[in-house]
Amino acid sequence: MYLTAEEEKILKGDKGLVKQKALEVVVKVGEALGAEKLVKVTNAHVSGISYKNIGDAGLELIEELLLKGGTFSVPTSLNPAGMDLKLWNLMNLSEAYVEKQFKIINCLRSMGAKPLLTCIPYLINPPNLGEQVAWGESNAILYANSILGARTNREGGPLALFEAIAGRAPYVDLRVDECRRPTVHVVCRFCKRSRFSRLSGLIGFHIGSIVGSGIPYISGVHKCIDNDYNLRLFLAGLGTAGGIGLGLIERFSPEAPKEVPKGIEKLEISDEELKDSYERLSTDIERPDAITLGCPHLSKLEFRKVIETIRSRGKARRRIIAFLPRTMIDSSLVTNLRRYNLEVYNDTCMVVCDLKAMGIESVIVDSAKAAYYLSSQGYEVQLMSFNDALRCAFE
Amino acid sequence: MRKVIKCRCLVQGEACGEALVSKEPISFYGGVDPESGRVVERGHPLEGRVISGKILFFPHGKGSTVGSYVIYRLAKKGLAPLAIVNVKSEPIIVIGCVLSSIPLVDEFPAHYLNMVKNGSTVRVIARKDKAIVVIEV
Repeated sequence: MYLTAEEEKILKGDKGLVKQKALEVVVKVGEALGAEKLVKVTNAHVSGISYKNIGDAGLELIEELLLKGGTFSVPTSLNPAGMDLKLWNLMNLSEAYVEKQFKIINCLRSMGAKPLLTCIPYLINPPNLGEQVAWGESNAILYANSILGARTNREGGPLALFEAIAGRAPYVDLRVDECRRPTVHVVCRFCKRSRFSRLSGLIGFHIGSIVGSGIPYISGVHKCIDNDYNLRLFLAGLGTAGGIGLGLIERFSPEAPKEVPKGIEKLEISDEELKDSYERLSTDIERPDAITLGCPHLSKLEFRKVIETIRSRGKARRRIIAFLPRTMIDSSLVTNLRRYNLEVYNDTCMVVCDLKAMGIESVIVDSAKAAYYLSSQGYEVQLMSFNDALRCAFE
Repeated sequence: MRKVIKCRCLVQGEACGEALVSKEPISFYGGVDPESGRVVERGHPLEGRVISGKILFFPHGKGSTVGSYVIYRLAKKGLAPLAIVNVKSEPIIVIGCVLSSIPLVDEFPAHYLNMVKNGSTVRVIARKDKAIVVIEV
């Protein structure tokens, strides 16, 4: 691999032990993937923050980086943690869990990270077209690449961490312009208002399952995606079922081809096929313990819809649990909302916190991503649209 | 009959053991229990099977970028696969194997996934100058 003089110096240890080790790992991964050189990144978003997910092994890895003097070379934000950093006492967690979660956050903060603790960093600090970034979190990677035209691969959590320290990433795959061309054309032929095509997350999940990997050019899907929230649900589903880091989506992607690409495989999908994916993800639940919203995190806009519903209909009959970034809400509001059966958490999400500890075993969700991960964790899950899920809370 | 298949070396090492094959991609986070090595994804062809101590074949990774930590946690507990063979590896798998010193090769031809039998003995040699998978067909 070609290395600059500065990179050679880092590898000799001139910039400290941790930066040296971090760059060694980045070079090793780069060489494995066939990168000819590294590229500087402008910022990083690190996934793998929840103690529930990374365990003692992950905590020790992060702790060691700090103890040996590690710092981040570029602005670095963090994915959701395993609890709300202020309301953790309402989440019924063990003392050890809380202590270890704080330790993870404090280590990363000491290394210079900004604890945004959200999976939608693209709405808070959106990268520009063509900007090289080092991002973990599958939905954020897809949004950055597909909607903003930034450049990142599907960096695993610890790789984004090492790249944030090294300030560099392997120049390979989705970072290279020539590697961002479509490999398969997916034509969506849905009825706009059918039961399944109203679930944009399900459409994304289904496309992810059938495409698997590569770069899909997706046409016709814009008819089923009428706002940014549905677009985020769609991309989250796509990134859950596939190993896909970039989708070129007609009308949404700045790099989507102007003409239908020729010479690549073409797949057509219609409403009936969505049913298979729906049945894989969703079971009918008679008495759900809660309606959980915010996978990916809600933005101010969707949260306002939840609040408006509460305002007009009063106290919900079932628990509504909403997850959103701390930066998007006035936290003095949050405790008042509990009397309406609306619980709001920041810093964490339904997938990476411990819903069971909160007395929840069955949920209604509006996200195919959440449906997949929560059913893997043993929860009963029913998938609905945002509006239907919210309506269910009052029935 | 023994068949020697040339691959690309991603993480160096050698292993010999029982094959466990999935024609479907794997999401280590959500798909595999980090405490037991058992595949827990509902409806996955390997659901209920344990990947620990096996030579694990699958086309490519999918889903969460936290999968790397699941691989690492499994390795710390001694529950990791002996080696991983992919059609195309992505960074999530590569960094998991780098941190855990699990031999990793890719460019394994997809159609051979149909020919490797679960439980058959396979050998993986992953060196920079020589990367091969030896299977019985």
